[in-house]
Amino acid sequence: MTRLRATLVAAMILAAPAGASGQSLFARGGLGVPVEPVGARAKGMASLGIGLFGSALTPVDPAAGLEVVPMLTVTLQPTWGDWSAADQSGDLRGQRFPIMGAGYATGARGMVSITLGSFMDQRWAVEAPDTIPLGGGGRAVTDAFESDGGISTIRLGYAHRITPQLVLAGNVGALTGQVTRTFSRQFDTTGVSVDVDDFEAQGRWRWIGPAAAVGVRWDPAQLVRLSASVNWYGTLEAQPQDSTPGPTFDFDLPLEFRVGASGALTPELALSASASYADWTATDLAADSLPPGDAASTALGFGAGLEWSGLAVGGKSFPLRFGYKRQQLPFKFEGDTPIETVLAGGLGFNLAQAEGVTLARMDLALERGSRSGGSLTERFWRMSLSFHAAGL
Amino acid sequence: MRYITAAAVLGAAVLSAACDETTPTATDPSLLPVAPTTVEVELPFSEFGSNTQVFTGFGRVSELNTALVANEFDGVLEARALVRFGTYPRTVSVADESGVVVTDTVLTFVGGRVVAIVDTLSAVLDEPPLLLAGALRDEWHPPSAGWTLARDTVGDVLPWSEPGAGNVTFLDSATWDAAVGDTVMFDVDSATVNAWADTADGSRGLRLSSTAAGVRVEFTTVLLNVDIRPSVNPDTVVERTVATDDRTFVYEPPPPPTTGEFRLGGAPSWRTTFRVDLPAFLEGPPELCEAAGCPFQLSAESVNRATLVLRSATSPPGFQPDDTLALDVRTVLSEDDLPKSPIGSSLAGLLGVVAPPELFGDTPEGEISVPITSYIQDRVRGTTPIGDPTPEALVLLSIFEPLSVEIMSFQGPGQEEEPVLRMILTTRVGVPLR
Repeated sequence: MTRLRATLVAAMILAAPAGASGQSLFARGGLGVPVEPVGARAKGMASLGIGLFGSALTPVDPAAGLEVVPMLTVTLQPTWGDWSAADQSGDLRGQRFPIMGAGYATGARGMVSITLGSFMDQRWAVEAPDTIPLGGGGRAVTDAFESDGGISTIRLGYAHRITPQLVLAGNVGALTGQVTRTFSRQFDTTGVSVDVDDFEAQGRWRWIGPAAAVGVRWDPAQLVRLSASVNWYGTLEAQPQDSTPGPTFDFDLPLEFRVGASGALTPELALSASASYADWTATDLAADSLPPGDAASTALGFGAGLEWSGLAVGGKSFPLRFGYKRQQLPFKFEGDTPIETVLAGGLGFNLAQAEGVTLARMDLALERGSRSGGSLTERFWRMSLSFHAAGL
Repeated sequence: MRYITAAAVLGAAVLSAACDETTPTATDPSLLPVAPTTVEVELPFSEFGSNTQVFTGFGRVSELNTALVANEFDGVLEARALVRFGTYPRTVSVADESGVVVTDTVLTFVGGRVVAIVDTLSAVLDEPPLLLAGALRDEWHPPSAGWTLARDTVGDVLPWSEPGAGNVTFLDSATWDAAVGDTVMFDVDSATVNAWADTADGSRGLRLSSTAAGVRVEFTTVLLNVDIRPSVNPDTVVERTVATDDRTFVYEPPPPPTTGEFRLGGAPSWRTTFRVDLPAFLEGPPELCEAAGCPFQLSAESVNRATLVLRSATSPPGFQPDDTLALDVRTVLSEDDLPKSPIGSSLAGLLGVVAPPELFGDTPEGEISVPITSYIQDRVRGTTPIGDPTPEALVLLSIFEPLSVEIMSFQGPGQEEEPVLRMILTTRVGVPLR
């Protein structure tokens, strides 16, 4: 029976759509729109994924993933909403797996982990009808451009408990992914007796680059946790694939700093706050490689939230979470630095606990957010659903 | 474990509810990272075509399965219809003298009538023409018979005793009046009817002709009704219909040689082949350079549409179409083996490209466009979609061979309105990474 259930779980996970895309028109600038590789617990508290009580597997905070038993986590994240810009508007809808990870405890003081997380989303499109002069008259056409792809990270990490209060950790890995950019011109055949083949031009690039992070987690008191991490991404290469002409592009990505802290206000109420910062202006992404007015900028973000664990049914706790986050995007849009703001709420299901270790947990978060920059505003709902299992 | 199962079920449910993907799609053209130019250009034949060849001999007149009669049509064309009837009935069921219906096998053929039905729409005549029916005397071979040869097969050539299907035994004459109907009848005497019953006789056959000048009449149906006197009841005459085994016609003169024009159709059919060599870079015409800049690099991706534009010419007298025809274009798979090269599949589709008859009259005005986009794309690329080398030559032909005795003619290379390759081209653009 156990095997049957395990098979059922695996089948359901595998049967779920495997898309790993998010969608935003802000993705047209620079390298796209950042995607935080954090789980639903952090999302529910509007955290940037660092400094939370408990443990979590995330590449941006390697010290968070220390546990005394093997652990496995996966997060699903559907998003839906709409956008408007000047006299245009439309819908957006998509889903992604922002973080998947596995950890294996190496004794009581260390843990090896592997994480696969999102980094940048590059999915957006333009479709513009036009009339072109052709054969002495005008011919209706529809020009379309679509960017499809993204960048992810895969990292191997190790966290080590130096003292009961201090954990040092690091990870190394790679940025990977690909992007396909397609321009097409469709000729309108309505009312015209002759068919004209569509024109299509396409470029495909593979992303590859190094990534690494170091982190520290310090619990100076029983009810306080402080964490910090530095993420280094090295030079990201865009290698042309297939018949795509042109050279390999190099992008020197900036260091990203993250800090976070949590404190227990009462035995059942915890406060968490976190911040991140990266100076994208220092990279060679700026100026001539971006559309006018879309230069790279600094990206500062912060989030704060509460977690209340007072709700329990049948001996199992169901933490409630709330939070607010404000985050700058790294690439300007029409001269403005886009800002994403999010109000978040979440609910945890601690399904199985033993000796202080959560063996099975499911977290659900729902965010209502917006991104604004220039004339463009996007409003979205984002749901995150994480499964966390330990002691397998 | 049951909690994990429940969690997985919930997760799958959440994903199922949100599994649609809608990419945010702006409509602002300024967000397009590239802006290619699309232009229409025409290349004269001299810039893409060469080695034009015109061949005939494809198919036989007998494959048309029609019977054409013409006399000085368009001042030149003579045509005589030839028909060979099939096997006569061997039995008839008839009432004997006592009134009992019996099957009689002892039959006497006492006469008959040829019933010919005219295609009234295609008939050309000034006044009701006199039509003549005669019985062939020479041995003949229906599939290969022509104006001068009764048989024209490999190693076996047999001329008619005189051109035009030889001497005949006159049977009957009739005047066909379109105002009366579409049927003409000729009486056939009993001797001829009995002679045609001998299926081993290689000379059996009917010839239809006309003496009226300027006439062209096509028969869609020619049947023989035989009168039979059964032995069980000699006072009764029974009529039975005999179908045709072969129906063809012979004509004179053949179409004159071409004088530089493209020629398609006819029976036997004509084909026109030419080699296609496209330049890698276009240096003109001026409108292309003005819109897209020159030299313009031609690529398969840049060709959105390509049509071979043919300007019509006057077809030879006697062979000008009076009905809509259709032409086809195919690749020549082995140019060295022309005219017997195998040819590729149709580029023009199942129905071909329609060519109305007025295109080929004495004052031809008009053009038709033959779509060859996929071929031009392959030719520019050098390979077909499955990786085979693209054939270098094209053949123009009628959609079926033979389709009609009528001929389609088009202005050829070097003529006033030679063929052109009309293309819609879009400038090749590289999609930028950012």
